[in-house]
Amino acid sequence: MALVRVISSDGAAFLVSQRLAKRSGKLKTEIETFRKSSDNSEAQPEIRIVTIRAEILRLVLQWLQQHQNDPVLPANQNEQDGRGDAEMGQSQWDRDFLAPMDLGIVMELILAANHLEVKGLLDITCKLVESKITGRTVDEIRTAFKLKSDFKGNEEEQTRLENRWCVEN
Amino acid sequence: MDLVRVTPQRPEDILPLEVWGLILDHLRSPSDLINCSQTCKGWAKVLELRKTTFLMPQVFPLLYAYLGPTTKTNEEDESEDNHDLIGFINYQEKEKQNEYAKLNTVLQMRLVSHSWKESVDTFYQDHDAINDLGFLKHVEDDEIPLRPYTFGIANVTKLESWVSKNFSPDSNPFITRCVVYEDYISPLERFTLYGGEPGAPELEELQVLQRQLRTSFKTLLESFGSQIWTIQLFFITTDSSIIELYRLVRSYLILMPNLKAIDIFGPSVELEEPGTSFKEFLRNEPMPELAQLKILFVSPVTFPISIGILSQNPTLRKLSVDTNKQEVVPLNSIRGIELPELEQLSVAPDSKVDLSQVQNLVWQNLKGLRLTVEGKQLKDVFGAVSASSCSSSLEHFILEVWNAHVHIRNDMELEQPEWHLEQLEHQLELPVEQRLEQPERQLEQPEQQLELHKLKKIELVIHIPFVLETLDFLLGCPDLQEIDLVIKISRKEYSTSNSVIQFKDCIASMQDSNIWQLLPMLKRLEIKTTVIEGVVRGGRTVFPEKTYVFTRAQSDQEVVPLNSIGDIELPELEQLSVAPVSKVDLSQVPNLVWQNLKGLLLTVEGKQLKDVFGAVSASSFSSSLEHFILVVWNSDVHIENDMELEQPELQLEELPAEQRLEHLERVWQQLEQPELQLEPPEQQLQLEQPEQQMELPKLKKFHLEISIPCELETIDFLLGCPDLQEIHLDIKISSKKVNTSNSVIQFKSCIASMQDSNIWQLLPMLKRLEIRTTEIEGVVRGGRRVFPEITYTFTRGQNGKITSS
Repeated sequence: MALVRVISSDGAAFLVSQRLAKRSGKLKTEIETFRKSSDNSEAQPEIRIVTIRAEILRLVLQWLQQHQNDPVLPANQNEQDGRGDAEMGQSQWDRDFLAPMDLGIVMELILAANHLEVKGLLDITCKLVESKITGRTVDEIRTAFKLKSDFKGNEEEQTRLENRWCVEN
Repeated sequence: MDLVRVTPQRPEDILPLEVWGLILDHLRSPSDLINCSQTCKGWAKVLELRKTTFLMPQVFPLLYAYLGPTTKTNEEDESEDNHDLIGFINYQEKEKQNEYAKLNTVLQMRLVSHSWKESVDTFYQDHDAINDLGFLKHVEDDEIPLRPYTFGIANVTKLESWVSKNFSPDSNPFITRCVVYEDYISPLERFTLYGGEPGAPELEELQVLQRQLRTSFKTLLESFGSQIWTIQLFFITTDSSIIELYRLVRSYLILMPNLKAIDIFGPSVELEEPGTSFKEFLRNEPMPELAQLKILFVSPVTFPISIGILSQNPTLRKLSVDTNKQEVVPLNSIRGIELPELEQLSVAPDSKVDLSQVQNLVWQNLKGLRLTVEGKQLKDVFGAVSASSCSSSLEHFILEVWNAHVHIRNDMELEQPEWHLEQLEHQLELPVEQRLEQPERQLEQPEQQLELHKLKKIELVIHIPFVLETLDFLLGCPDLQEIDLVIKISRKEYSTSNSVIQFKDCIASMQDSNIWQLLPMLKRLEIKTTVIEGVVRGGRTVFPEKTYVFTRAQSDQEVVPLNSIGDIELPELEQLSVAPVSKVDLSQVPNLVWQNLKGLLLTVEGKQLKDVFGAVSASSFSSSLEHFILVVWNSDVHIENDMELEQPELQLEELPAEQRLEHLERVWQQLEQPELQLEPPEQQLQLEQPEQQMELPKLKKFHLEISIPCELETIDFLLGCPDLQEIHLDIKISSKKVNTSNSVIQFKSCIASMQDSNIWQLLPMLKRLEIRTTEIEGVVRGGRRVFPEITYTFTRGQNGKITSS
């Protein structure tokens, strides 16, 4: 079985099958580029992902492994409305996978899924974050995301003024 | 000097994590914080709680698509919307409504924290709708460009409301940093809005309102003009003099020093005395230099205000020009103004273009060109663009054609072209008999290719019914990656024997076209055949719109590195076998490094036989090869699987009388089986004539296996192998009689009697010929039929006599 070494930003290496890695658009391109530039057809590709740390990379690979037999979604599918995929594609496993995660981790996963071009994972993570925002009050959002207001002076009041003016016009 | 061994340390080995927390608290830039959190576990832990703050600027653009209600309408609605202008506007209205529905969620997010507010505002301010000249969206999707969202200030008619808001001077009240100013109060507007109604405001009243509007807008700009990045200025006819208007715009622009994009629409007027006085005027009262300005939409381009802006801001990157119908867009030079950094030029629909100017375009680094031409021949457009100075830099070309002399066949159901579109209205008034008397017109064959070597994307939209017979004009664009065609096309089949690219008659099956071989970089081909109005037997008929999208899948399969295996030389290699499932790049075959190869087993997929023969014949081992086994998969070897359809009775009569009944019963049983339905005979394709011979002078044994039903008309390709002693053909072949008078070797129609073929004279060393015709499925009057496998073996004896078995 052909393997590829995927290395996180903090130096952790994951040895995964090329078949699995190629479920990520980014890794697929990297493997193909390596093949073209390498003289040795037997050499094992090594891909360094400088923007994703080990904990997040492990989660992405774990999700890919679970979904390795799903049809690959085109990266640009439903660009304007990714919600359809998420609603169709979210399984009980996905829900269990995301349930224990802090929203900060989920946001890191969104960026990782986007960088690695894993459309299905991008869909379910974005949908999860969206569900914590839409229809919530500002205080509820702050609680969900463990945020505190960092507005200075009358900035919050000015923002409310701007918002009101947006809606009026 | 002693060597110091440095071992990587964890942050907590240097300082307690709490102290790191205090240090990292000073970081404000999201990108710095992200980099730190990705550096090590320790810092990631310290920044854990701040993650939802500093990640939002990067996450929001991805999240935006998921916010609020769905923007997707069902397909039926979409296709209906595209049919007419009203539908299109409705579609835009829906988009707008959805955007406003999202707005509530987005505004809520702005109140969560300062960084979230910044994330939202940055997203809107960098929106494509502001930075794009129509190059990012499909040309048909933005005939009415989506204006950038202007939440907060769509126009300034409610400036009283603005004044009462009491915004603090250091805030930015424009979420999108885009303002639309409509200086619409004019005599014309008065007439349009109020007509002759009693009680309509008097002109004087309107003039007072206009003055108030201008004063209020200036007040706004004095406070917040530096916050504005995009301005859209609309001046319809005005009673102001052009000088007065110029001065007004100048006073506005001076107050917006950070403008990145200007979209200006004004009346098509010139200064009364163009020339010296105009230049002098511009020199005395120049428009401001706007350091950030990169994008300019001007309509019309001769409007003095536009010229004033252009002359002071020559570092523009993107320019969109528009004129009224009569005026010709001055493409080759805009009043002598050089724009050396111009990368995109877009000529708005309805603008006239002088093709002779295209050839003399002064912008040599142009990467994107969007052109709308009217009443021109395609070949003239292609010729002009190919001859222009930007032909070596152009990467994206959008061409819209209106009322061109592209000849039409709008009576495709009558199977005979009747008339040219330009004469359509006149023709409709004529009696049917006279219409049919119109002379047949020649189809346009764009002989002139587009010669754009760096072109990556072409969008071609033709707005009238016409017949596009060929795509051969694209052959001069070897880097082409994406083709979008929006055409009105007839369904009638025409002969396209002169075309190189297989296109017409197979629009629905372009995945099989040779375009993928001829344009090797091509990744995506979209063909939208829009509504066509054909005149069919005296009445109009509307045909449905269809969109075909073909993409080249990136193959997971590795290509066998044939020309070199890791630079390893195998000087004594005599036999090379490539496993059947492996892919082969034929272009590598001529460069094979093994010059003494005697045996080669090759499996090719999707290649033409002649290409394989050419590659092998050109290889370094062509003079040494003695044994060649070739297995062909999914090749363009053409098929005819309806060969029995024409003469089934004949075959029945040839059966002995006692077998006829049995045969009929068998056929009847087949017909009763529901899965054995009559399939329409597949489209008859041209037979492949492998013109390319194999030139392998030492070849002694040749084995050819073609794994799909094929029509092998000739084996003339063997004539270049004079030493051939043994031939083994394993083919699925029809038994239909086909005229093969062009073949040298007598082969087709006499497979069963090849002992009489001239092959034994033409290949004097030939000792054995084996032809195995394997199972083939033919469609025979209502059901599929499997033909038996037959092996014919012919040998030349010692005495030279040919025997068969």
